Amino acid sequence: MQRLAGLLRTGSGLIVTVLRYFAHSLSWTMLVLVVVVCTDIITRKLGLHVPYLDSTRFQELAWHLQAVIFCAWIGYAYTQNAHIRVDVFVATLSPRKRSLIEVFGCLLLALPYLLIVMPYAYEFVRVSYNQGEASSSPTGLPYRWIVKSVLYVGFWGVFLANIAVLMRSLADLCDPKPATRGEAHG
Amino acid sequence: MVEFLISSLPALMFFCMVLGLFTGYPVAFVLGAVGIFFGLIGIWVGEFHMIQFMNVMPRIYRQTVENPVFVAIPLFIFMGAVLQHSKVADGLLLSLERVLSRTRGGLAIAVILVGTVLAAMTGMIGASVVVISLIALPLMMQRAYNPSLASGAVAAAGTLGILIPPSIMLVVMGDMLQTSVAALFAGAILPGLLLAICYILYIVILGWSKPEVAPVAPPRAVAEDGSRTSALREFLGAMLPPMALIFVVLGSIYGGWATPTEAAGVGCLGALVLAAAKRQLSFRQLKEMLYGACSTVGMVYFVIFGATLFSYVFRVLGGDEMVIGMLEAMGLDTGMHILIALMVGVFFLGFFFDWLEICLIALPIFGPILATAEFGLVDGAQPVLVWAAVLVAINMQTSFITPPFGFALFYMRGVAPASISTVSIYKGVIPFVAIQIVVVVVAVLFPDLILFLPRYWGLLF
Repeated sequence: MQRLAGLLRTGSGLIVTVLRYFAHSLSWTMLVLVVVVCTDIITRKLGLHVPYLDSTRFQELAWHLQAVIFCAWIGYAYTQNAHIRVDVFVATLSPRKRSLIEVFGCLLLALPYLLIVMPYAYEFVRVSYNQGEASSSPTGLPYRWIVKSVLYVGFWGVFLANIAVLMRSLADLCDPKPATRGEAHG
Repeated sequence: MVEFLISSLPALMFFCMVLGLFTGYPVAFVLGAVGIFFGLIGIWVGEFHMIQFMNVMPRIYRQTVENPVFVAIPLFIFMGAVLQHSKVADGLLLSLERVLSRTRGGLAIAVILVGTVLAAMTGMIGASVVVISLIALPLMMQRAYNPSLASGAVAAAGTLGILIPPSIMLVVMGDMLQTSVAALFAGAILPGLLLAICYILYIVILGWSKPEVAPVAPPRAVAEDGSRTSALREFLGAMLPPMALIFVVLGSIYGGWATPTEAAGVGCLGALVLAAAKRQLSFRQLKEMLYGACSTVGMVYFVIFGATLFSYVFRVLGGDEMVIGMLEAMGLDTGMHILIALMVGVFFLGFFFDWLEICLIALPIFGPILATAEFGLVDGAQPVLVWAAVLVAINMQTSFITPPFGFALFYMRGVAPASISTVSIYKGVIPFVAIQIVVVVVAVLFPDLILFLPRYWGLLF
């Protein structure tokens, strides 16, 4: 049992490391977003024209970056227990019962949700790519499939995060004294 | 049998969602999963079609990705994280206490003022109440404040931020109700300030009538830095930069120079400069700010994913008609009745859910009903929506601090020192709840309290 738990924890830790790498490095996009929004205002108010980047493109770039930020974090946030919960009634439950809730939640709620939505997310990207979809504005950005695939990749992040949390919670059930206490409910 | 099932599907769906949320599993997954399951049940009974799941992705995409208004959300969250990690609040609280050192209850007043000025720090209610409790409660206990007064002031100050602009909640509300975010920001100012003033008046009156509950600052806290003039200078140093930042952000929106998104971008830049000037912007601190903000952003957006899916399926299954039918069956047909029903509903939801879930689920259902309803007091769809949204916001804040269920109290209990009993928390917030209720009633009877500024600044019509 303990070896199984150890194995599960290693696997879960591996996924979390990968997700953390992407989340942490892509969080710097926030600073880029600040720069993009500020540059847009300054150039527009001063009447400057940046070649290839007029205001429409800046504004479209801004929400492209917004997508990068949240897609990098929706999965990783789950492994760090940052997703909001209504824990009024379960806060006092034992760690074992909370792990059980997590296992059932992953299997019965999260995975069915993701397994049904993700193929549609893929289809969404494919259609956009095949159509060569671009901005509806003539001066907007081309290649809408890029930002749409960011959304699809974000769902993969959530899927992996679910596997990681599922493995971690199963490990906690098999071997109730976690070796890495800090990571169990970080 | 099947017909009965079909007609009660939306009600069943709502019930299952509430049940699912109470398991404590993340809200985002519960909303999405309930949406998927009821879509599947709908397919089984012939009320939903497999192909309609195709509509979900474009909806999520348009709501969260290709949404220029929503860009304000990550930016305001980041601005709040920068202010929080650069310890602006701690400095402000201590220097305010010194300035108010001769006033009874000075520290409690300082807590309210910090909550008002630094409303931008507030993201989710749970998190912001925890932050302000950790900063203020131990200090107030150390200064021998009455535990009830201390916890009441902290709960009120920690929740006021969702109302006072720049508030992320108002951005989400504006988008859900399809009304102007700038007008909502303007509409929330007067009620927010009125609440803050009433809180302070209550503390002053209480300190005057019962001196033992609200002590003056101990001489040590004053003497440390010499005279009161130097305290005042230090206070201005702590107060002016964040005040100027908030003023620039809000002023550029109200002046019509910038959209909320643009103002948020400039606000982030300003907050970073402020942090650098305070020497609180090391590489490690910048990383903490970025990670903290991004984590909240990911959380908020993933809840929106789930809520978009849930609302879509709920609507296809006839949820809107069900709500309208229920309101009619209860004899609620005038605008006022519907508004009161919405407020009562939101009040109860606020016992268990944070503003995000409430706004995402209740507002898309009630928004269209309110926009076309008849009110004696307010005319026109946009003014009605702004008025109703701000009322709902004040109402939600009231609900968060109402004992025994208040959502904020639950989080406060978690981090409060053991010397503060649950009963004293409950006792302490009741006067603040009473103030809230008075302000809600005033804002219902005198809509100009909310609508004056948006009209004055030309943000309506």
